[in-house]
Amino acid sequence: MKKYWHLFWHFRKVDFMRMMEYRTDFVFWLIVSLMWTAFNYFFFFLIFGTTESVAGWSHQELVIVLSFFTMIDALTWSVFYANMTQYTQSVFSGELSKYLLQPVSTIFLLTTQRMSYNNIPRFLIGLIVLVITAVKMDISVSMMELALIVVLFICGAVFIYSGWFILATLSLWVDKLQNINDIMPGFRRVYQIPRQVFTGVTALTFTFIFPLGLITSLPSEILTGKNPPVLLILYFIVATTCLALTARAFFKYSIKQYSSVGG
Amino acid sequence: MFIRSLQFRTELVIYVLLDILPFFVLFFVWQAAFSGKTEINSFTLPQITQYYFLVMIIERVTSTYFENWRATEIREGKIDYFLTRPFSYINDVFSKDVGGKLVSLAISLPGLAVAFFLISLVLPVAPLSVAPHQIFIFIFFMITGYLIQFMIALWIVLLTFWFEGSSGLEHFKWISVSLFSGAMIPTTFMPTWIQSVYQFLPLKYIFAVPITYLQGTLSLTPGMFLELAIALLCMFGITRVFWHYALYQYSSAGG
Repeated sequence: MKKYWHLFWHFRKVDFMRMMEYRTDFVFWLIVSLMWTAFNYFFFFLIFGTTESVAGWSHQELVIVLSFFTMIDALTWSVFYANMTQYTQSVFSGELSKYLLQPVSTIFLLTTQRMSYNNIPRFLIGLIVLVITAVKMDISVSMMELALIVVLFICGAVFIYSGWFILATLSLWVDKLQNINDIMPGFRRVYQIPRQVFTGVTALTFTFIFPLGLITSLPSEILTGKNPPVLLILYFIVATTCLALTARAFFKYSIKQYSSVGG
Repeated sequence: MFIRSLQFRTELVIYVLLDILPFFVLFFVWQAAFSGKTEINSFTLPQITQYYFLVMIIERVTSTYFENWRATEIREGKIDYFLTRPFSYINDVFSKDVGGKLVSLAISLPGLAVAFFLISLVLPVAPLSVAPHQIFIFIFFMITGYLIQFMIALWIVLLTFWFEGSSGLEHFKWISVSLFSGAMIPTTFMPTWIQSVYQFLPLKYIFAVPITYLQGTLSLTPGMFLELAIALLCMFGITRVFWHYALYQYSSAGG
């Protein structure tokens, strides 16, 4: 465990050195990241500005959902995208072999070795807006609720990461699929809004079958005192655990397909 | 090129699905916003749905995605070939992008047509009743919209001659086009200051003008066509000047 901890921080150090090497690039992407964050908030302000509430969520409550989304989105581009791109490229080029030969878990290497610092301000903006809105709304949460919010937020991140890892692992089965890493970000819009916005079959799909709708909704509901059903919270935690285990099992099974030739 | 595109048809299917998904999510957002209302800013829910469906089609036709790899090509000094041949680099960018786009449209538009049919079965989409001349004008605007997007993309590529990291400027393009063209939201929903910028820029001819024209809420005037023609000419002129000065910045060495 100590070895993995040490490796994790070593990777972060390398990432930091890489960032310092291209400082202008870092500043540039920082601006781009901030622009997208502002754009996302602005877009929803325009839509939600036309009505008093959306699916039972007031404007300020919607800002809380958007803030959780902003933080998850920062992780998406900083951690998930960077690693998954590296992973699929290493499969297509045949470089995956070098990870397989290392005396550490291949999944650990594939999922932690890259991180971009460009989106850290985006994460902080999400957090600051979240705190400011919570203070404005005079929200008070117990330590238990706060812990649950953190657990659900982590679950949300693990859910996306596991789903993405399964999709990226599909690269071991196909000849070449350049946009395989665009699929999971394509679903971001689903958890940008409260789950109650969806109706009918779509609501069923995004709540139970592929519970993306719960990623930002559940922590937001707890924070705003909407009291989501306990069973739904448990379901999401179990679904996330199952997806993470499936991702691991699928990788172990799919790696047998790997020929190390590249393409 | 057609065979190469067919080889990557799974990628095309994924792109079409990724185009449709945000449209679906947006529909639910608007459905929630329209709850208890029949009209917002002179739009009904079926009209808004129709608006975003047309956005999706125009986006597929007019968007360009060559900025990144073309910028890399210049940065790595791989355009020498065009500087010694009687075929301009810009012509190469244009012809390859148009060719690739035509092939991808030939494959993806039938898919979008089927998607529209299925969507209209499950979602309230206002039916389009348009005369043939309106369709021609709509296609004309899609072509000019493509030219506008192409030239902006080309400016980003040409900036590589001066700045190393210009490929990321495509994000500025996406944000600007989304904000000031009517792709993000119908312009009547925009704050006044954005509407002022929108009126000033030619980006409105990519999405807002053709869509509202087709929806019957905008009457075209000769002045609009003149404005569009002047904007295109100016953009073309800027592109020529850009290319002229960019060449002085270029150096490549073999070895």
